[in-house]
Amino acid sequence: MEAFINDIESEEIIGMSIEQAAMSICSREVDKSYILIKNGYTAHMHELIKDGDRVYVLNKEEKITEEEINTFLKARHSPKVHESMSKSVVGIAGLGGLGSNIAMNLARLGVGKMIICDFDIVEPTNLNRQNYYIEHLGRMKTSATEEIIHKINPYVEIEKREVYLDKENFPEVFKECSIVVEAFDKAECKAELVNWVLGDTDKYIVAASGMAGYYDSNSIKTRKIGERLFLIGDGVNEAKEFNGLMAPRVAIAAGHQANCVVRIIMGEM
Amino acid sequence: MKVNGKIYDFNEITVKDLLKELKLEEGKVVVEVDMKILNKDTFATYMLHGKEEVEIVAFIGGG
Repeated sequence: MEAFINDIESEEIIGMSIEQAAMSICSREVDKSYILIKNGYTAHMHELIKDGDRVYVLNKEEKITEEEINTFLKARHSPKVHESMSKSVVGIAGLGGLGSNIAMNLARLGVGKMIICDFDIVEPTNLNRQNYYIEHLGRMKTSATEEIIHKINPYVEIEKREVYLDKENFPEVFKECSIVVEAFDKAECKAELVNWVLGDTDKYIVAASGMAGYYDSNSIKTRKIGERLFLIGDGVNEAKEFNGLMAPRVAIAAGHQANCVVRIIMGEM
Repeated sequence: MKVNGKIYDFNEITVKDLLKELKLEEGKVVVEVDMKILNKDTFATYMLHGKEEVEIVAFIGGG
């Protein structure tokens, strides 16, 4: 016999009203400013809790606490995964189609810290694939990404670097990262970053090559090359005129890269 | 020599010339010879004798 309130398991709340359980377990006095959810539907504070019920009580006006977010993440990912993710520092080189989507995925995963790098602003042509909204047009991608990440998880630590990255500043920018995600646009920049990580550091590099158009989704793969390079993409489809980058395959590649980061952190790679 | 798992009949060739033969651009590649990353600055002088295992990753633009 068990029920859950805010992902906290409790036998004693069975038979209590949501209002009583919120006070007893979460020390919260539920009123109109609260969102109440029971088993995936909105609920009233006087509804009684039964065996197996999952209840959430969230105050609309208060910022969700770090403890609450971590409880939700531990419940979804397991405490072991959450602990490893929350200790990780990941660098993201470029916040375009790949980087903006990867940053969002890693925020949802509860990564501890991200160093996000881009010198560019959000433009209208970005909206077809990059994780920005109309309200971000004209703003620095670093600042827009930070804002979006903090709307998902306010407790992910963000360091913004508004610089054009090259081998002169890679060492300083990425010194804290154990994993660097290559999310550049130009092939020369990709090669420069990967060469630096593999040649001069012990870090892992998750890079991308080839994801344009609407070719078969299944042609995008993750390949391990050597011990520390992971290469995602179809290796073939270059972004060029009439063969541009489109949201679905870019998101697939970004998803591969983000999942690759998780797998490296969890020792699966 | 092997390049990305395929056997090629090259010997006594610099990395720079190998890349030219394979129609690859120096600035867009990562080259590993016998599991060691090669610095781009050495492509013109590093001589491959024919028994090496070479891995070349050629990057495609877009992201």
